[in-house]
Amino acid sequence: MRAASFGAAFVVLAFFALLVADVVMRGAAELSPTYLFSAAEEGGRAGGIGPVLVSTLLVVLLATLFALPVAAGGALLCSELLVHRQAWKSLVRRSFEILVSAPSVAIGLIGWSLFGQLFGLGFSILSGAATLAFMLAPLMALAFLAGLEAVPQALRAQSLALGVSRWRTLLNLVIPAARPALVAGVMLAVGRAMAETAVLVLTSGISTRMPQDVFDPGATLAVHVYHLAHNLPGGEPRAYAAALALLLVSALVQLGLARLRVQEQPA
Amino acid sequence: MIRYRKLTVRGCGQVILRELELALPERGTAVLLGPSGCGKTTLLRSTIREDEDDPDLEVEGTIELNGVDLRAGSVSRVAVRQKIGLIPQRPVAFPGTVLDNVTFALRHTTRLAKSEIERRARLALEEVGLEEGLYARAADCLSGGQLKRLAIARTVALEPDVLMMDEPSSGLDPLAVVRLERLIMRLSEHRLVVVVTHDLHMTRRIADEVHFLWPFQDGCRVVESGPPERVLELPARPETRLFVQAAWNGAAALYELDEELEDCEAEECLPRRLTLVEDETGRPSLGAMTER
Repeated sequence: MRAASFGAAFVVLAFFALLVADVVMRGAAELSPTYLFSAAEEGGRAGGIGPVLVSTLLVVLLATLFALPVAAGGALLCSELLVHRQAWKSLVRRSFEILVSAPSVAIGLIGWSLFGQLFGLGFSILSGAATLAFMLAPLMALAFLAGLEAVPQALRAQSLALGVSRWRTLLNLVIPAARPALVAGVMLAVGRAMAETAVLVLTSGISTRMPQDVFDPGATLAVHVYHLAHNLPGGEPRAYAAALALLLVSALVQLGLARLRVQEQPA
Repeated sequence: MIRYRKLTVRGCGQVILRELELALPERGTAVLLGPSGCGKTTLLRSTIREDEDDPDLEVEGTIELNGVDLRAGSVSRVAVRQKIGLIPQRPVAFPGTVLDNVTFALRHTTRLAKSEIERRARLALEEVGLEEGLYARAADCLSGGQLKRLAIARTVALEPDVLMMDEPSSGLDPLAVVRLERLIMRLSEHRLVVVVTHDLHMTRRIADEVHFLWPFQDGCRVVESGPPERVLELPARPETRLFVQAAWNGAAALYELDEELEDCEAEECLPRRLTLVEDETGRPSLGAMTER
């Protein structure tokens, strides 16, 4: 049993190490500060990924911001308001579960026709972020819900019994107690957003020009890697460099978010 | 004083309490006894209007505190809970330190100055006998007995008129129970303390009056009330007798009384003095208790 667990862990880690080693070995030669911050030329086969980095951060930030209130609202609805209404609660939860498992290409197509065409946003960072938010919201909501439900009901009940209002109990007791799980939910969503391609190819496009505002198109790093590797002849070396940059940026963002997970002592 | 009139409580699709009538004094310790599931906890929960947090509970009838109807629309739930503190059977530590736990409700239900909140919290902690060295410690590091005291301090800090404790001695070692009893006696000098317990030894030591509840087919009611010596030594009702016998004498008494209770009519079940004998020593157990 023990050997099997260690074996399984080893296989996973070895695979991950191999993957990172491959990307580092093939991408490191191209990676430099100039590469990271200068403009792309020839669709990315020359020059850098400065505009792509900006587009990535914009799309991920906006998508997370759009999804956050929806996810928080949905999770709170389920865990706090519908706590005694099992039928409604499981309906909301089921809808999240179905949305989470929806294929991203389908969501991309819906986003394109809704935001790109109907709302006239075309290929744009805004359209990409809004569509991506549809994917992130249920993912975050389920993670939030798991965190909120892990807070014992007795904690809520005992705060209410002291005359503290429902709202203050939630804000000052339940949410702080669930905080590590809530941050983990955001990390999960941000990671997903960083890695997403199908949705964004169809909505925020593959442009490597510096976006002037959120109505401009802009490729994210993952989309850029995909485009370089598959659609541009001779793009492969640069695809590895961009993939390495994606790994580094993702790791940095996740490390930053992980700092929020640590429980502070309430004053 | 608290007065319950025609209190009927439904929960989980059945009647838990039916037309319960009960009056509790202004100060002193009132102990609620009765078998598990006879609605003692439900009675406490209904008093602080927990039915408003739990749609499973449905409360009818009136509950008055010093003549004020606690269920009236003009009385807020928060006001009720500031007057009546309920200490649950299994208290949960709030995140943060011991002191944070006690200041929590004061911070979020009053507009008192920070210094006043801390003063009251320290006073409450002192009253329940938690040493100052513990104040800065994380509350979830406390022992079971300390956690019970912390829960009492959380409630006492709000300066309620009534304290209600649900099985305060459960899970505590005998020394911790004695300390808790002393605390309850001290707290009940200035206010009413209502204690739900199955511990007859504790009841005998702390109670000023005992109320015995019994689950009838159609719901639970108070069947007998009085001073602890009377109710525990000379129970008037067969239900009380069964309970008391079982507690002192164990299973042997139960079989005997079970039959008696089955075909018991009111006249047959006249009060009789129980011969409460402990199996091993042969000494009357209540006598032994009185000596303590």
